[in-house]
Amino acid sequence: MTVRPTLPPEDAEPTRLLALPGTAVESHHRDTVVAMLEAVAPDLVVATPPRAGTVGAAVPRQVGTPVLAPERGRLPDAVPTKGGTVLVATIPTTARGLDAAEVRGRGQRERRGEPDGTPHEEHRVCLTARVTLDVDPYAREASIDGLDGYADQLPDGWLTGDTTHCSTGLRAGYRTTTRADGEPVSLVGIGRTEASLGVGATDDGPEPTLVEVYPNGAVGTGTVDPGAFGLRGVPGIGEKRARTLRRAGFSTPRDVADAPPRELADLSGLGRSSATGLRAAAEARAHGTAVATGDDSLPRGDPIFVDIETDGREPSCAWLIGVLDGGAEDGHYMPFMESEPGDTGHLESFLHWLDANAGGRPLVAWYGYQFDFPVLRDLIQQHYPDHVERWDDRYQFDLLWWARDKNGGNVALPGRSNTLEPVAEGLGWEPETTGIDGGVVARVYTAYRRAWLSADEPHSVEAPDWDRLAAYCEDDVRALATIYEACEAAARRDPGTTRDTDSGTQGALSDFT
Amino acid sequence: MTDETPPPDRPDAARTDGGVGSPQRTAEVLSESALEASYPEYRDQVRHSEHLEERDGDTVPAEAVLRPELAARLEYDLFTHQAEGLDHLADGNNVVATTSTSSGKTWIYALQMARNHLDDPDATALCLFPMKALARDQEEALTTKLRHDWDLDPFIGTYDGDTRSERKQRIRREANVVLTNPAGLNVYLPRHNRDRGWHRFYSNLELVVIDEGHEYSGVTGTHVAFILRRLRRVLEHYDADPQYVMTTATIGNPAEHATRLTGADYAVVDEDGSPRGARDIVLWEPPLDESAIDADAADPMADFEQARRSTGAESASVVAHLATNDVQTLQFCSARQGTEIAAKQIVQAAGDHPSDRYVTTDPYHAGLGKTERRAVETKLKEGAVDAVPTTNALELGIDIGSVDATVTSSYPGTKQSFWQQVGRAGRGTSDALSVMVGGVDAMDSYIFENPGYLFADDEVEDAVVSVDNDRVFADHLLAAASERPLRAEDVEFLGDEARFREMVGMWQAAGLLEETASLDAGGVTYTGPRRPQDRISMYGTGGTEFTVVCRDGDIDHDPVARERAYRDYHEGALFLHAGQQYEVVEVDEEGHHPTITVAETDTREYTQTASTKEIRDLTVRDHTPLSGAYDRYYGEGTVRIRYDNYLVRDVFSGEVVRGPLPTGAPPMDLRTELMWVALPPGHLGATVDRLDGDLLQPTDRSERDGAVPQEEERYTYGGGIHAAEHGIIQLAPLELMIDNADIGGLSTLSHPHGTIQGPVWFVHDGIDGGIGFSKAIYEHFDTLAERTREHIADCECGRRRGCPMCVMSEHCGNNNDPLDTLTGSMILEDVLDAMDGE
Repeated sequence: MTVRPTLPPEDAEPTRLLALPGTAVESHHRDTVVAMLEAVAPDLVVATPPRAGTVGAAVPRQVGTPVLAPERGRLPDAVPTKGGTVLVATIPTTARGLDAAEVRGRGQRERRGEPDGTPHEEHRVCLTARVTLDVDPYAREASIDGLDGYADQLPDGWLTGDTTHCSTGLRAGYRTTTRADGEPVSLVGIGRTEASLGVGATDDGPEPTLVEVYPNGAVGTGTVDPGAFGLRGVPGIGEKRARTLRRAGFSTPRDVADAPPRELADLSGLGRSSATGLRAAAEARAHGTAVATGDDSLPRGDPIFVDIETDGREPSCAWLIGVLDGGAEDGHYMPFMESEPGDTGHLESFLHWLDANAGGRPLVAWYGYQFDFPVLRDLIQQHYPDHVERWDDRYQFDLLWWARDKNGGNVALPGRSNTLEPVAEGLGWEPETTGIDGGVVARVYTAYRRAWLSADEPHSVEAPDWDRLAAYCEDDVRALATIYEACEAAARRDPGTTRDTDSGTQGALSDFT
Repeated sequence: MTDETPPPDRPDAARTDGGVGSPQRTAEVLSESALEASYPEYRDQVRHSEHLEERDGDTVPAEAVLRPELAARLEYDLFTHQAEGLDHLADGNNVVATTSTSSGKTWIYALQMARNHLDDPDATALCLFPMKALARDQEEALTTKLRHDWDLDPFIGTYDGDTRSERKQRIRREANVVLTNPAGLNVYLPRHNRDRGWHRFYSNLELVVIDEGHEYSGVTGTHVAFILRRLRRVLEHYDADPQYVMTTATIGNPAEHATRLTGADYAVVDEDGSPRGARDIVLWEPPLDESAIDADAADPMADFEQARRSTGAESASVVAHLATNDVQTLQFCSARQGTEIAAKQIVQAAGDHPSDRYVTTDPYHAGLGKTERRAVETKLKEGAVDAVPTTNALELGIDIGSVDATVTSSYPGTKQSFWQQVGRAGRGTSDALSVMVGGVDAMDSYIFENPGYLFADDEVEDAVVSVDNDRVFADHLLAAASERPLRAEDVEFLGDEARFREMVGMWQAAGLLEETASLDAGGVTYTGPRRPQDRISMYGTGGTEFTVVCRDGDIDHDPVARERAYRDYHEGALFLHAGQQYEVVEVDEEGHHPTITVAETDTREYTQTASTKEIRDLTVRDHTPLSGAYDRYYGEGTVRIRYDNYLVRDVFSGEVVRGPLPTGAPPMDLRTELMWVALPPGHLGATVDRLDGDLLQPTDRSERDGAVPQEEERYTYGGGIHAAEHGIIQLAPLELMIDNADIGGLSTLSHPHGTIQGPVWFVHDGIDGGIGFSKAIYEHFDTLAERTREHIADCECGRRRGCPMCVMSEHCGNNNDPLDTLTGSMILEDVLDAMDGE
């Protein structure tokens, strides 16, 4: 029986681990790595392969983040965090079983020098290298290896729901719940796998991954691109330009933002127009603001902001269509939500609402041309074909595309990735809900749908916290409106600024928006 | 395809369009008197010649098949096979057309497109071609037919990696007919629901055309079969239920092949109604200097090749003879020879020819730039070049008009390929002429002994394609999930059911499919990295694949799967590619992109890689008990191959120049498909007792080879079973369209598996996961064993240790030692007797 995923408690503070591969450290400038550590501010760094041995030296003492290396050493190592309520410990690959006091003792002696701490933490995160995944397409089986040996080593009573187990032998982002000694064991990947994943694995090396562990066992994971921090975080500054800029004495986005344009333009490899573009991008990053870089205007008419929640990135449904009519602060939020799995009445209601209210107004979505709009169209075609023509005639506007891509880009935005919430947060917006992202929402929904459709009495199936999921979606449309308003303001402020024709270095979106 | 069809009711059109040739039979140039008079040192090389009579076409009035509105737009009647295909389509069936090259199979689908377009101007069609060049050719041909000749207005466009993005956008939005290739479809399919254009295209799809379907076998066939299943699954989502038309060259199992490739059922159209011109086919055998064969040669295979005039040089000489006699000739080269070398050889041979006429020649191959290729094509059409040596790039439908004669330099491996090449000859009022120059190979030898094989209509190879490879299935399952969430009903396209569910479960547990989802309750979504389709390679089964790069220039080389890389591309290996010799200087398997770096070289050496093999973990999938403790099995197992060392040998003497040297390649485990023949426990003794000849003496080499038994009886019998194994593998392509470089074998006097009590020989797929080759050999074993027995017994070499024309193999890991044709024949005979008594 599959264990249904848990949402984190509201307003809970997670323990934040940054799984940092040695290769990621080696392929970025030290300043970039430091900028990443300062911005992400994890509770601790876990050194992960490949070349985990190089991570420790890359984390400067002044940053002060403890580093644990689960692949090294014969003795356990531990770091108490969250005021001693959470213990993070490495369980080295040794033959013998470990004692809880011994593990705790290591942490206290070496890190804090406190003789007696709180012996009963609320939650534990154990780090190992020996739990791995094996995939055999010929046997058509995937299995977790090394769990028994690992369980034998763990101190008694640590194989319970109040411990989260992270392995560098599992690929970062991988999550599963399995059983050992009859107990459910929550496993989280923080490294790389040797398993043959076929076309389900890319050639790219592992990326740094932020793992957030909540006291109730809920876990969130997300990759962190070091190239999104410090100078490298400014779109248009790759490693080569960053080197040029550093040599000229510019070491932060703020330095670049505040530099006279001529001084930048004189640097080798930078023309006048790219210097202007870089400066705008740096200003956006450094000051948390939107800066106009192009001439295209935003649509006329009051925008309607749309964001959908689905069952995955290649979805078969949009069970929640969040609509914001009005501004980021005071606009009216309407969640069009499925009444039960498989029902599409909410889609029809949405279409009727549009008929009544959307005449001539732009529908705005983030990354909408790639996701929300075609997904909705596909569903309309399937369920309400009579509406397709009207849908096609509606003004559909992808704000990300307009800001980043249209005619070389129109507005430089802050944020350490192109996904919706980080950009809005870069502009100073704060979410109401925490600990939830599109992936979590899709998983929670999918698990519920499965239980509901498989149950003899569907209505007895425990429903997810719909209000919270709807609130997450509301966060997203309000974030979208925030960005839209910032873009409007930028366009008013700097009409006709020369634009940066450089295409920038940020890659395609890989997350939900 | 590809056929330049004569207008269908003018069967003589192809023979009245030029009048370039002389009115005599072209074959006169190769008559015995002509050859004796003017061919340099003619030594009776012509082993066989066959004259094929002209055949008239059978036609049906167009109005008997098509609605008057369309029939009226046709100038000519239809051939009977075209009419039959169209009738089947009108009845709602899918059609596989397997009539001869240039029989006008294109018309079947072109007219169906026309019918669909008249019914519904929004109707669309998708056409898949094995090569980009063919798609472009057919875009032109279909445009001419549909838009100009028949005055319809469908929008027809080729959509592939060479199409510019504005054009692509327009095609997606508007095209009625999209022409592409399966690798393209693989990567375009995921956008089906993200783009209004594709949405429109798939929703209105009425016809799917799979042209040259015989091209899809082996590894590529497996991938194509899954891509087409993914397509069908997506189409179901759009409620589109198109008809399928597959055209193929003549194959033995058209309906089965079409069904395996697509999962749909087909009506077969194989009664050819097209006319055929008369033609002559000549089998030409390079002379052998028997006295030069050394019984104790260091490399017996190379020694034999030395003693025989090389196929390449002999072909060039024939081409030169034809060209100096004003017979424009296309020479199809084997990969080993290369077109550039052939061009030089032709010029040289023309210089040695008594006519002393200068011959113009231009090589043609895919490595040439587009402009260069076009230039040669134009010269051919205009008669401005006498001879063109080409790779099989000109075998398929590129428009070059026709030439007077073709010369095939060693058997191209399949009858389809051979007849495609032959089909390139013939124009004007003269008859077409084709020559095949024999290569050093068991297949060539068999055909020269049994030329009837080439001409018999009932002896056609089966195309072999399998969807049983679990690794390939696993990859396409991820691709399918990323196109639409997987559901229980997808078993219709991705079954069998147990396998489908197990594999979905595996990926859920591995975190690439949503673990909390269910096939039966809402569907299972893909959660892995984006666009898994982009990481599917059509050349392998999902294992490591190497890119080949040249240190000092460009090399146009397909990626090499690990299975072949370890054997043929280890560091220090020498290989020929497009006529150029290369040495492998570095193999990098560690990085993200495994690479083989090669350097151009020019030595008098070649390398030979030795291997040892173990077979274990056998699982029986099928068993055919024969009489008297003989058994045949098919199943799966693990083949561990070690390519530990290699020898560098002199091209001319076969002597070892250096070595054995370590290859540096680690052992390789193939989890693959196998068939095995288990012989009774006392068979060794019984055979040796009946042996009408001496026991063979172990060679010096074999003494150093731990895998070879040294005791004479065991050595001799081991040679027999080894010969039987080689013989069957080498002749398998005569029955099945398989590449025997992707088959391996192992023969041994004992094996611990429970199904094996006495000696045994295995045949295994050389590709991880298997591609159906061993299974096909298992299923066709009777014919293959019979043919092999005859061939070994009849080989002209008459040597106990055989020759490359019967049992020696260039891929043998034991330097073709031991081999014994005498004992081998006895073993095969016993197995055949046991089969009669089964």
